[in-house]
Amino acid sequence: MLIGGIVLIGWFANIETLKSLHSGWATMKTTTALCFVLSGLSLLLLSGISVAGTVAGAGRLSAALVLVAGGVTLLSYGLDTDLGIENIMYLLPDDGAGLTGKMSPGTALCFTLTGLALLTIDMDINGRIRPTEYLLFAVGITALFASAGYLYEAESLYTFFPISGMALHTALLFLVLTVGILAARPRRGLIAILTTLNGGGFMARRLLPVTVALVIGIGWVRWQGELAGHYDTALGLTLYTTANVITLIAVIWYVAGRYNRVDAERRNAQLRFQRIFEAAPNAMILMAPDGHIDLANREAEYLFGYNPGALHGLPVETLIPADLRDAHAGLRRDYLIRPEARVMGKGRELHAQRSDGTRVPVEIGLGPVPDIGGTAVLAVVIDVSQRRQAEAALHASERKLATLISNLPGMVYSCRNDADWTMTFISDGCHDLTGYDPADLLDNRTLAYADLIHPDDRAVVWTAVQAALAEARPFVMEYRIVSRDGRIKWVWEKGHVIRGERGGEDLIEGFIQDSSDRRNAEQALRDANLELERRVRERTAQLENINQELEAFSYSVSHDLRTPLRGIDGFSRILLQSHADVLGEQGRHYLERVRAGTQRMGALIDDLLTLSRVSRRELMPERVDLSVIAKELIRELQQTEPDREVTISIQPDVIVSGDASLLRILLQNLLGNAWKFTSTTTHPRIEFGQTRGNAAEFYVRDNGAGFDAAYAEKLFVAFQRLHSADEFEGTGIGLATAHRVVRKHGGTLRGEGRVGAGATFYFTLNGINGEGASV
Amino acid sequence: MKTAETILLVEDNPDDEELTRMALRNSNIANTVIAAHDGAEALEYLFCTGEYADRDRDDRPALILLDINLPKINGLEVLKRIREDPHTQLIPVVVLTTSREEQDLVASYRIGANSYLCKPVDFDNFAAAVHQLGMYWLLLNQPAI
Repeated sequence: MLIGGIVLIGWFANIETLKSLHSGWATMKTTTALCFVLSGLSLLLLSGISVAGTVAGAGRLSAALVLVAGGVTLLSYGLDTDLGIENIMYLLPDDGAGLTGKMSPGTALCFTLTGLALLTIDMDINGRIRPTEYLLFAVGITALFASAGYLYEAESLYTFFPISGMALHTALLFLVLTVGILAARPRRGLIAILTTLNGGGFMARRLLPVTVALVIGIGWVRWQGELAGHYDTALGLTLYTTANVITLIAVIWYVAGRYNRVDAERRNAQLRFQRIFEAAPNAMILMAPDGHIDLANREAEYLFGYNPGALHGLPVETLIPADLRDAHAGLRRDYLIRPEARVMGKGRELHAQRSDGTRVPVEIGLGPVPDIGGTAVLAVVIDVSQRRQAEAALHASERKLATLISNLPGMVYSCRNDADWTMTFISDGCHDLTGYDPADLLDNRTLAYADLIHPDDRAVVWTAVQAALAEARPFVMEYRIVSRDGRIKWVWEKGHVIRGERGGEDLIEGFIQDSSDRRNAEQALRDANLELERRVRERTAQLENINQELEAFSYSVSHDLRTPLRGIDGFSRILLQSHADVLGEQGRHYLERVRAGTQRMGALIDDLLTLSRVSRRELMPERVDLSVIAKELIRELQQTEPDREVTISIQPDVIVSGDASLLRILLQNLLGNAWKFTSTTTHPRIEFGQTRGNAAEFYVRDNGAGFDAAYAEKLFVAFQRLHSADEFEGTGIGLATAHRVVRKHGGTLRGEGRVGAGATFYFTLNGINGEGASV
Repeated sequence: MKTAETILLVEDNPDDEELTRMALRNSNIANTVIAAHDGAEALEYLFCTGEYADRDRDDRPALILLDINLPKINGLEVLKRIREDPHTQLIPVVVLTTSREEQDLVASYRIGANSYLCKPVDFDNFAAAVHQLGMYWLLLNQPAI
């Protein structure tokens, strides 16, 4: 367009150089120049990728004008008439020949074709064939032909092809215009082969200019050499051909080398892509523009449950649950209208279908990938089932916690460590505890928690919490609050501090519970205990009374029962002494029986008193040498019957801890029995000692009358006697007393014996029966 | 000053009183035995009050045989009063009782009994005991008065 403009100016200024570049060459006519301007304008207006509206309209109008100008001129040549189009178009005065000269027929043809090409720039047939390109190829060939003619000064060209006569700059401009129009739609049609990033384009872009320039250049050199007479035509042709071959081989060699490197890089890149694709930890699927799966990595095959390679070629909807498939096809089309990288299904549940029919919750990221024949889509699929499970578990846990918190018989809180105890979280338990809703206390909206604390307790609470915080330990305290209805409640609180992260604020978290009931219960318990103690004292006093009464009873038994007995015995004795002759033998016999009875009753009373005393006596444990006591008792027994000969064996140093007085009564009874029941034995023998072993027992053994083992359990029952009074006298209280002594010491007493083969009484004391037991 | 010849027998039980008298007699102890049948009477006798108001205060018994379990005033109380009064505190007192209770025994000695004797049920033993104590306190023992 610019050059067209300059030529127009040349015509106006009558500058010969601008008109024809070289005198004798054809000139560019004004119509030609004007048509170039219009073509340039049209190309400029139509060069946008997708232009519309007035701009495109203006572009097409310009193209149409060019078409009309070229077509009309061509028509005039054909009809061999002058339609005077030049005169119509140029309002300038006809100042001489040539100014309004017609453009040559070649130029007119070229403009006709160019105009058509511009008008059909966006047109294609079957989406592949673009008429524009073929029209432009025709223009280009014509222009190239004309240009080459100038170069080789082929005068005959004009005669050979009469319609030519195109100016040199016209021809060059047509070349430029052709390239320009082709370049206006670089991604479409045949031109795309050149502009693609693929190897072919790469090669063509390098080969084309070099080939064209070299072939033309070498041809020109040859021609010039021939003209200069350096060589004849045959040699020239030889040189020309050889140079061409060599040059082309060099060019092809060079380009092949370059292409090899580029291809290696490409293959490397492809390999790297494949590795990355396969190694990606997420399932990746590349969907071809037609909706079929082009690529799927191993993760994808694993996720969807397919064998390696099985996904290739399947419709992508195969992976969509059946109920969503129809909708998905629509979504896919929508996406391709406005392809952009985004995450699918944000905020809602997406599911993918596995080969076995199960559904997998997934998250999908989409990205458009430019591809041959449209836009492919790369989908990155993440199996979120574990995340969903974890989320579900978290939700469940949170829900459980929330339920727990809201059902707690108290208030869970989180608050700031400030004078208001500003609450940042507070559970529903707040209402029952304080009468206020949690919202009232949150951020001190209605009132601060500190306001609820009983005025007398506020300082204590503050001090207690600060002290605990300073020592970084939890705090537990009890204080009073005033609830909404004015009641004073005791509350129990436990809490601890959550240190703010990175210098953030400290928070206190804890639990507050109404402790009034507990305090009441504690008070009730204290009262009950006091009551219990009082009753125990009462009972003890009663028992003491009873004991005193019992003692008084024993006392009177001891005193009052024996007194009449002594009277009976005394007067019987006096009767026997002073009135024996009056009584007669029979009378004396009866009186003796009376005396025996009273004496037996006296013994009975004495034994009963002993038993009673054993029962009442409080243990006064001390170190007791049972061997010493046994020896003393045997000596006393021996004194009552000095004539008896009994073999005595007493193990020395049997020392225990116990009540000396009671232990004496115990041994007195056991040794006394042994003494008594050996009275009819030929070689009487009495032993006292301690058995060996862990469960050692003390024993008193004799070889006397013994007893029937069948009655062993009756031995220790008061008044139970296994022998008749004729055989051995006794009250039947002795062993009962002995048993009681042992029991008072926390021990056991058992008897072993056979009739006529002696008896052994074993006893333990207070669990202490081992050797060396001491106080 | 009169020779101390009387024995004061403080005994509520008439049987025991008679048996004691008999036992003393059998032992050939000829001292006059004056019987008081309760604690109050014993004190009236000793301090010449009440029924015994006309009695000569200086006519002190040579020996007091004192039972513990007595009507009105307990034997231990009687003993206490005897020991508290300078007039009577030097009279030998033998506690003669049926009680075998240790507490009685200890209490008697603590208050100032000179001897404690438990009356056996068997009369022969009883007579022997009375004989011995009579011999000892009335013949062998050198009284302070």
